[in-house]
Amino acid sequence: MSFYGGDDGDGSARWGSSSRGGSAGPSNITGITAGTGSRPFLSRLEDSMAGSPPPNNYDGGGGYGGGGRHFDEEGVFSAEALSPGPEEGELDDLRRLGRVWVRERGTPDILAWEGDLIDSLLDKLEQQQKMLATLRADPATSEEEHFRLVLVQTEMERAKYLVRSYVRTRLHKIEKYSQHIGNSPELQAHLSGAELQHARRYADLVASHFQHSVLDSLPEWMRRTDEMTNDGVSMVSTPNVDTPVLVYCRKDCGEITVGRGELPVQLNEGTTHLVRYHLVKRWIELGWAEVL
Amino acid sequence: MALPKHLQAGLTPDELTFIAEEDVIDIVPLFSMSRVRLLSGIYGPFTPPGRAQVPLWLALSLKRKRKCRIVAPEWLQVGEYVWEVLSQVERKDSKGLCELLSVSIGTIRFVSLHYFAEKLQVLLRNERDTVEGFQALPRHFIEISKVLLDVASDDLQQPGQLRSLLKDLRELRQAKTRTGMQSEGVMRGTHLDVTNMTPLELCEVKPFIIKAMGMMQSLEPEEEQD
Repeated sequence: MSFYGGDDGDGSARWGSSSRGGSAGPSNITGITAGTGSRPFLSRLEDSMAGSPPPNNYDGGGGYGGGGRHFDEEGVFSAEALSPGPEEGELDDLRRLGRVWVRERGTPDILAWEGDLIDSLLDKLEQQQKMLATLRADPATSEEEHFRLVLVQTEMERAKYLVRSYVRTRLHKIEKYSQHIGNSPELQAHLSGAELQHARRYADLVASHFQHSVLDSLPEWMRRTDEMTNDGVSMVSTPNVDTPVLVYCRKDCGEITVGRGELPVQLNEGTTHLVRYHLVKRWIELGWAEVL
Repeated sequence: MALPKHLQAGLTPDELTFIAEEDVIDIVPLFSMSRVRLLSGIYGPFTPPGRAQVPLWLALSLKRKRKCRIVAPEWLQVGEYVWEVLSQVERKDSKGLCELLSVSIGTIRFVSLHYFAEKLQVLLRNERDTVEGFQALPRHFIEISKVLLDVASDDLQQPGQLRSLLKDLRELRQAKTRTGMQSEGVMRGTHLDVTNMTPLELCEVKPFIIKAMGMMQSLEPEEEQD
């Protein structure tokens, strides 16, 4: 299979590096090969070091932080720098919300409401806020403590921004699909109580507004707002699951069939794809594919 | 409405920088303070000249108050390998090494300087050599290097050179993106492998590609009807 648009028969073009084979270990994950000529010198250097144990403490603890880096690889980045970060479950609340937010922004569908995460974060924010107010008001608070409070407050603002943006993103989708939410129990299960209530009220408001301003003055047979038009397009707007989304595969997600008459696409670990949402939906839900 | 129009197409560079600012980075504090407990974890203690690991936003905020020095990530450091190799040579079995290679220590110095001069240069060369596809970069490479150059350029060695190398690298990758988009089949397909492009680069092209793909799709003849 040739890349870079060479064969367009399968309709799936590929820009990604093709050199990332199964044999590539973590040490040369960059796929960078040494320039010509450097290898002999380096390997000899390496050989001569082989007798001096232990191999990895040459920075004497002073710490470049790089840990087990070896001279024989000319990789510019350590595997750590290139890693996509830990799994979502291992992150703290704030960074987890960051992932959740990116995912909500990147997908056309309304995803499940992360109620527990938001509740726990809001609780913590409230505690911090109380502590902040108490310490601020206390004249005995030291200069150092005041400085620390500034940092605490900065982080709180960041957290609040994330929560706000997350809720706004969902609100945007909910208002867009409010009519559809009303008759889709599946989607209703993804919403929080307040969101569901908002969706219903919003749909009612829009409906009554249309009714009063336009529809009442139209002939009876033109008054419906949920019909299919002649070319099969519904008047109720629904999330378009055909929208391509960007996903990074954290695990091997196997093969997907992208379309009729096209070759299946391998979703290997560590690759990034732009692919239709409904094809990777279950991998996103499992956390195997991360939305970018 | 709830989400302003310019945010609807996807994440903006500012928002990506916001995410990138959660990454941890090393700093050398210029003040003493015990641990500080934040929502995302406990950081510190800050005892100069020791290092501390903090999130990037914290490092930047301290830097703006001139309360710390940021330790550049390894890929933004000029010639760090040089010092590693040299100190290795000096400290350890340098004589044996010289005998083995039958060269003087000066030669080793020269060779190591030559080979390990600049990580970004190596990266740039590799990027240029890889005609198909991209080199792997850390996910927030562009965002982090940009904010560090903006806020903490005095903590970087040769910021001017770094800036131009980063610019070269970015332009090289952008050129690849453009060539990639011109190739036949990219817009016609329903799938695109964009491995090793960073989220920021992807967000640049995503709205265009998605729109183009959708449009091409609607122009394709419907085969089901046959």
